[in-house]
Amino acid sequence: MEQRVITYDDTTVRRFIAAGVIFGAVAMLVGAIIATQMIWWQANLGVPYLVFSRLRPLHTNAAIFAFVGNSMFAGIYYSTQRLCKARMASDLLSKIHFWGWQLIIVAAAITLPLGITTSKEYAELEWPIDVAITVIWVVFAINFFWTLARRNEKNLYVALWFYIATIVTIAVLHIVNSLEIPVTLTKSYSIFPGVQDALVQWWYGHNAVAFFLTTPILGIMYYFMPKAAERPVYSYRLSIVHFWSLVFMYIWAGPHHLLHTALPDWAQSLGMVFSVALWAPSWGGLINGMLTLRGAWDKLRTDPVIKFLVAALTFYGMSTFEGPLLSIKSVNALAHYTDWIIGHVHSGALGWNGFMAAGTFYWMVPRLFGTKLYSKKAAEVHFWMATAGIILYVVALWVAGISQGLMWKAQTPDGALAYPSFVETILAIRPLWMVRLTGGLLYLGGFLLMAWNLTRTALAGKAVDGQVTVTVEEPHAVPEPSAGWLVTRPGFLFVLGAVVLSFFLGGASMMTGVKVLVVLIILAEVAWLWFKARPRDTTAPGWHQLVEGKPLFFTVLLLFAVLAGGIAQLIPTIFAPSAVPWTGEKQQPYSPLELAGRDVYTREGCYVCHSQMIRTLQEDTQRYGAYSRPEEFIYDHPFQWGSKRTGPDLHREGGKYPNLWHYSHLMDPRSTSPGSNMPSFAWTADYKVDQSLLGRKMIALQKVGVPYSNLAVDGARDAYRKQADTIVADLAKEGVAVPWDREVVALIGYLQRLGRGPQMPAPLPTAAAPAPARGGQ
Amino acid sequence: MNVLILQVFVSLMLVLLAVLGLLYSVKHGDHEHADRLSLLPLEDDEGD
Repeated sequence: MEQRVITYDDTTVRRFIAAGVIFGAVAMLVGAIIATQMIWWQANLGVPYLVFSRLRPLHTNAAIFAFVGNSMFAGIYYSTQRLCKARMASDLLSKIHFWGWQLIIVAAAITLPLGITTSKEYAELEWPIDVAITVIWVVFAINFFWTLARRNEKNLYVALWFYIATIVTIAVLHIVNSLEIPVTLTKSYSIFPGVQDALVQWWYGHNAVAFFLTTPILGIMYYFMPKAAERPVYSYRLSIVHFWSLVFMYIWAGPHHLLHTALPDWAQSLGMVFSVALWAPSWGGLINGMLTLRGAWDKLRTDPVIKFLVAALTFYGMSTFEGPLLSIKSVNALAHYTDWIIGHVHSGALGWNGFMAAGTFYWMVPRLFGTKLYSKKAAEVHFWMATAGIILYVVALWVAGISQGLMWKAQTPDGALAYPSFVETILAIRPLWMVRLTGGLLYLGGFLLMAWNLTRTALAGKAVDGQVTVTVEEPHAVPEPSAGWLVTRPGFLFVLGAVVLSFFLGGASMMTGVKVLVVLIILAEVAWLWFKARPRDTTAPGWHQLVEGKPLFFTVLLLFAVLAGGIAQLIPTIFAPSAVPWTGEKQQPYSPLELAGRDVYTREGCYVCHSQMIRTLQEDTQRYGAYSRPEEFIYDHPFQWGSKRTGPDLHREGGKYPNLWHYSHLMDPRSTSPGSNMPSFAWTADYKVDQSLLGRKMIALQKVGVPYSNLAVDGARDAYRKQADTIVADLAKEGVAVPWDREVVALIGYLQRLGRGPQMPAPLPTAAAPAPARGGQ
Repeated sequence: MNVLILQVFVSLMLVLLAVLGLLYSVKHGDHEHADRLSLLPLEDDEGD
C-alpha cells in the first residue's frame, strides 16, 4: 500500500469554462439578432451572410455545441477526475480535444453564414467538419475511458454513467445521421431520401437533445448539486432506475417531431407513446436533484449557486412535462410548426442548460482560482434578470404559438378558412415577438454580467489545480463471474430465446404470434419461480454493483439499451420491401435545373421558415391542398419537410403562381405579400449557377439510388438550358430581363416543380425503367 | 401487421426483462453499497 498525491488537470477545465462563456455570449447574441430580424426583416442589412435563414443554424449550433458543449466538457473534466480520484489520462488528448472542438466551432461560424449546409437540423455542418467532429469525439472518448481505466475509486458514481451514455450514443447518432455522399468539399447529399431521411434526422435530432443537452447535464447535476448543497443525492437507487429507463426510452421519441406527416403511422404512435412514458424517468432525475436539498433549503435564499441549480431543475421538470404533452397527437396537431415549440426549446435551453452552466461556473471558478466569487450581488442580479427573461420569452411564445395554431385552424360559419392569408397570422403575433426579444435580451444581459463577474474573479485569484491523496492498494483477486457462468444464467438464456424467436415472428400470422407470446410468458413465470426458490449467497456483490465496477461491460449494456430504439424504428423503414408506388408523375427525379434550384433553396435555408409537408389534418389540407404522401419524396436527398412555419407550406406550390410572382416574391416579398417579414433574396438574380457541377451532382445522386441515366447526366447542361430558357422567356414577356444562368431562374424552376411532376420542355433521357432505390420506403 | 406483432412482442419482452431485473435487485439487497457511493461527491479534495 502506498500513498499517492494526484494533481488534477484543471487547466483544461478552465479553458472549457472560458470557451463556454465566450461562445454562450456569441450564441445568444446571434439569437437576439435573428429574433430582431423576425420583427424587422431589414435588420439583415441586405447582406446575404446575415439573412435570418442562414444565421438561424449558426445560432442553434452555437447554442448546442459551442455553449452547452464547452460547458458540459468543463463539468465532465472537473467531476470525472474527482470521482475517479485520478488525473485525466492524457494531457495531450485533453489539449487536442479542447482546441479541436474550438476549431470545429470556428469552422461552423465561417461555413454556415456562407450557406454551406446540409440543411439537416443540428447536423448542418458539411461532411469535412463531420469527419473532424468524429475524430475529436473519439479523442474525447479515449481520454475519458482511459481515465476510467486508471481510476483509484472502484465503483462508478452515477454521474459517470451519464457521461458514458453521452459519449457512446452521440457517436452512434452522429455517424448514422451524417451518412452523406460528397459532391465537393462543401456539398454533399444525404444517403437517405424522403421519409427515411426524416426519420433518421429526427431520431438524431431528438437524441441530440437527449444525449447532448440532457444526459451529460444530469451527470453534472448529480455531482454539483450534492457538492453545492453539502448533502448526498436523495436516492442512489432512484438514480439507477431512472438512468436505465431514461437512456432506453429517449431513443424512441424521435418520431414525435413527425406527427401527422407522411411518416408511417406505427412509427408516429411509437414515438408518441415513448415520449409520454419518458415523463417518468425524466422526473426521476428532477425529484432526485430537488430532494437532495432536504434539510438545506435555507441555502436557496443565501447561495446563488443553489438558486441557479434549483431553477435549472425546475425548468427541466417543466420542459420534460411539456415535451410529453406536445408529443400527444392531438396537442401536436395544434402546436407543430408554431412558436410554442420554440418556447418549449428555449425553456429547456435557457432554463435547464443555461442555468446549470451558470450554477456550475459560479461554483467552479472561485475554486479553480483559489479565491472567492468577485460579487455575490452580481450573481443574484444575474439570476433574477435571467429568470425574468426566460419567463417573458417563454410565455410570449406560448401565447404566440397557440394563437397561430388556432388561427390556422379557425373557420368561418360556412366552413371557409377564417384567416386565409398566412401573413395575417404573422402580423397577429408580431407584438409577442417583441416581448420575446425583450426576454432574450434580459437573459443575454444577465449572461454578460456573469462573464464580467467570472473574469473579475479569475483576475483576483491564481490558477489552482485540485489535489487528492489516495491510498493505492495491491489489487487482490476477487471471485468474479466467468463468461461460461454468465451464458448459462436463466436470464441470459431467456433473452437469447426471445431474440431468436423475434426473427421468426416478423413473418408470422397474428394467431401464431399470440401463441408464442403465451408460451414465452409461461416459460418466464416458470423461470422466475425456479429462480426465487434457489438458495442465495447474500454476501456476494449484487449484479448492478458488479456492473458499476466494470466500465467496459457497463458500456456494452448501455449500447444495447440505446440501440434498441433505433433498430426498432429505423430498420423497418430502411430495409422493408417498398410500400409506396415508385412510378407515377410525381415519382420522377428532379431535372438538372430543378436540382440546382433545390440546392439554392437548401443553401439559403428556406426550410427554416417554410415547411414542405401538408399534414393529414383539415386545417392543412384546406389551406394547402392534398396531404403529402410518402411516395412524393422518394428522390429527396435530403428531405425538406421543415419544422417551423414562419411562412406558408410550399409542398403544393408548383403551378399556384406564375413565374413572375415567384421572381417578384424573391426580389421583394412585400410586393406580392404585404406585411410579410420574409427577407429579400435579391442576390440570387446576380449569382450564377455553376454549370460544371450539374453532372457531378447527378452522378452522386445516382449512387444513392436516384435513377438518372448516364444519358441524362451527359445531357444535363443542355436540359438545364432548355428549361431555363422557358422560364426566362416567360419572365421577359412580363418585362423582366434575367440571364438564364442565374440562381433565381433555377430556384423558380424548383418552386414550380413542388407537388407536381417534371416541368421540363422534354423529359430526361432514360436508359431503362426506374428501379426502386436502395432499401425502399 | 407483421411489424406490429414483432414490435409488441419485443417491447413486452424488454419490459418483462426490466421488471425481472428490478425485482431481482430489490430482493437481493443489491443497493446497499449505494449509501457509500452517494457520498463520493462530498469527499473533501484539497482544491475544493
